[in-house]
Amino acid sequence: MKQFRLVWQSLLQIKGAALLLMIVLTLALFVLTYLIGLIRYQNYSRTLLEQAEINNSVYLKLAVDDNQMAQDMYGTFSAIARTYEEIADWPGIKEIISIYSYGSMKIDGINYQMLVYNDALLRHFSMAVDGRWFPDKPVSVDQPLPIVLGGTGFSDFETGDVLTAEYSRTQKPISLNVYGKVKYPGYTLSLSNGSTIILSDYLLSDQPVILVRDEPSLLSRLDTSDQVMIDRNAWVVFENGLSEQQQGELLTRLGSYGSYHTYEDIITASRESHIEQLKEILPIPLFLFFSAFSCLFSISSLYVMRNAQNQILYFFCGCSRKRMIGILAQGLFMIFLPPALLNLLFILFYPTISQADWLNLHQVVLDGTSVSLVLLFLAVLLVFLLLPALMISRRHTPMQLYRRMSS
Amino acid sequence: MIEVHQITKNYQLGKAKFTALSDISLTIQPGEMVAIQGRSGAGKTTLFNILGCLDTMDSGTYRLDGQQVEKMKDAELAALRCKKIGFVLQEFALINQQSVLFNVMLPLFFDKMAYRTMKTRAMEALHKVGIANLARHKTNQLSGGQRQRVAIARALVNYPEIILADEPTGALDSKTAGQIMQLISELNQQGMTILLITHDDKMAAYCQRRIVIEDGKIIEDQLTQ
Ligand SMILES: Nc1ncnc2c1ncn2[C@@H]1O[C@H](COP(=O)(O)OP(=O)(O)OP(=O)(O)O)[C@@H](O)[C@H]1O
Ligand SMILES: [Mg+2]
Repeated sequence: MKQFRLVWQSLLQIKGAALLLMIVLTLALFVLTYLIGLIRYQNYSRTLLEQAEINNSVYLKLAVDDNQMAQDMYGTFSAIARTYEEIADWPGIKEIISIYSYGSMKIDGINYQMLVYNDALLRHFSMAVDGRWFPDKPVSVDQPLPIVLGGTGFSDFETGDVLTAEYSRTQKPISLNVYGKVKYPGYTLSLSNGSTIILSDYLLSDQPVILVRDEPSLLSRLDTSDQVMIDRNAWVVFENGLSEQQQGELLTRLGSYGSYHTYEDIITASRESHIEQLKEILPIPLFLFFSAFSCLFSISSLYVMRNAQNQILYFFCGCSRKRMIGILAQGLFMIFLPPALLNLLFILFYPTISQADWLNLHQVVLDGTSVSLVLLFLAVLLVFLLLPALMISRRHTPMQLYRRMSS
Repeated sequence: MIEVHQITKNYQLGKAKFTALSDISLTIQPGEMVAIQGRSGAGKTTLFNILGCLDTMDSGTYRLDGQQVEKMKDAELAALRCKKIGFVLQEFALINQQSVLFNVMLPLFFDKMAYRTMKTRAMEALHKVGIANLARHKTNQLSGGQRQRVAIARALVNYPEIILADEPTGALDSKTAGQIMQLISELNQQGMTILLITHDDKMAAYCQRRIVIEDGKIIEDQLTQ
């Protein structure tokens, strides 16, 4: 503890610079954290797609007449649903993964979209949850409706909670039982993207959504008609073992319904785009890091120089050479501490903060892994900043330094 | 007791080797007060550094109270400096931004001792050198003589057996220098071994023994009183 006074003394030699160092470090750490989060989101989104086991599939963007949609929304929706049902029955098609909805639920004055998860969706895109994805057997109609919470913004609700919501179509209260909650980062599959380029990044959404299971009793339980709302895009999964020719025919046939991207194309395009994006954004953080590093390095040299005199004095008074370096290292560590703590607290609380929707950076994954990476970075930096001190102490004995400084 | 036998110290000057001390043998008994004199560049500071366990020698042996110093590692040497030797220097001897008290406590930071005890010890040392009233002052508010008293208090604080002083009065006017030498002599009378490097014969006159070094060799070693 008393050594802390010596460490503090060493910091007093570079008061202003130490403050500057803290600020630079804080900024650098946040840039780094964001960068790590971005890269991790890209990998996360791609990995989810790769693990969905839909290798033999295409992302179909059904051509829909927007005028017709504007005039008769529900008619158009049910036409889309019917089209997908037909496609599902084609020989060679295994299943369709689509997302549909029967309206929304209002809880505490906030409207949440309610999405219906069928077996295909659950099989391929059930993200990790706290709790579980619905009960094994359908619960009876007089029990609360089992739901899973997806996306961010549900910090108030926990697994096991029974909530009362207002169902948008009937405006009647309905009781919901939270069976599961999608784990951080909370993303769920989104099929709303119909742009010309389809990347894994945009097939996920962190919008807060209430997920219910598709089962025969659902409509009667909700007390609503079968007026469905459905995404016009869907995954069309082929049977395994189709010949090239059969696949080609299916693709031609699907092509007459709209445009499509094969699963392989999406994965490849995502991978390429992620590399491209990194190439595009990396120069800025790299430049920042370079400036920060040179700033840090010159400050640490200043630190060593300003402290040389006192250090020699410590040496006279019975401080070993190892301990001299130790005092300097602890000084740097003290400078590191506030920015590191600030950053780590931010990362640690980010999942909670983003789940509560106070601050959401979107398409960034920050969690324990980011913490380890930041700590690793700090450790490397600490050694790097100690280099001036280590170099001087290897090359000169304290007495050589003393002679130099006194002449 | 200091016993050195055939000490040699070389400095590397580029490719050339410069012998700063050659074949120095010397015994200093506890309680002696010795002046080390010689021209500039003679090797006084080099000897001071070796006797003070601050620097290594190239050959020879050094026994300090029977302990073999030449074989010791960094940490052991540091412990020896901390416990047995007090230093008084001419230049940057003090931490300017800190209080007198903190400066005097410095050696105790490297000893196992509670902070409270450190303070008591430092105050005691300040009493001995007669500036206890200045404990809370910053050292850069002090006069040259007062600063050197702080340095002596710091050298005393860990009850060392030996005090090594390299030109302790070099930066002082003659009156103040006399007072400082008076103080050092008093410490010697209390039983402390003193080694004093000085150019000034008047200061050397306070000592009982005079060693003269020239070109890294002892050319004179005699009692003066
Ligand atoms: N680290 C070093 N590297 C090279 N040469 C050195 C080194 N230290 C001392 N010397 C040389 O060794 C010789 C003795 O130096 P030392 O400092 O011991 O002299 P000194 O007797 O203390 O002189 P002064 O009275 O000027 O303090 C000098 O010639 C000096 O130039
Ligand atoms: Mg000298």
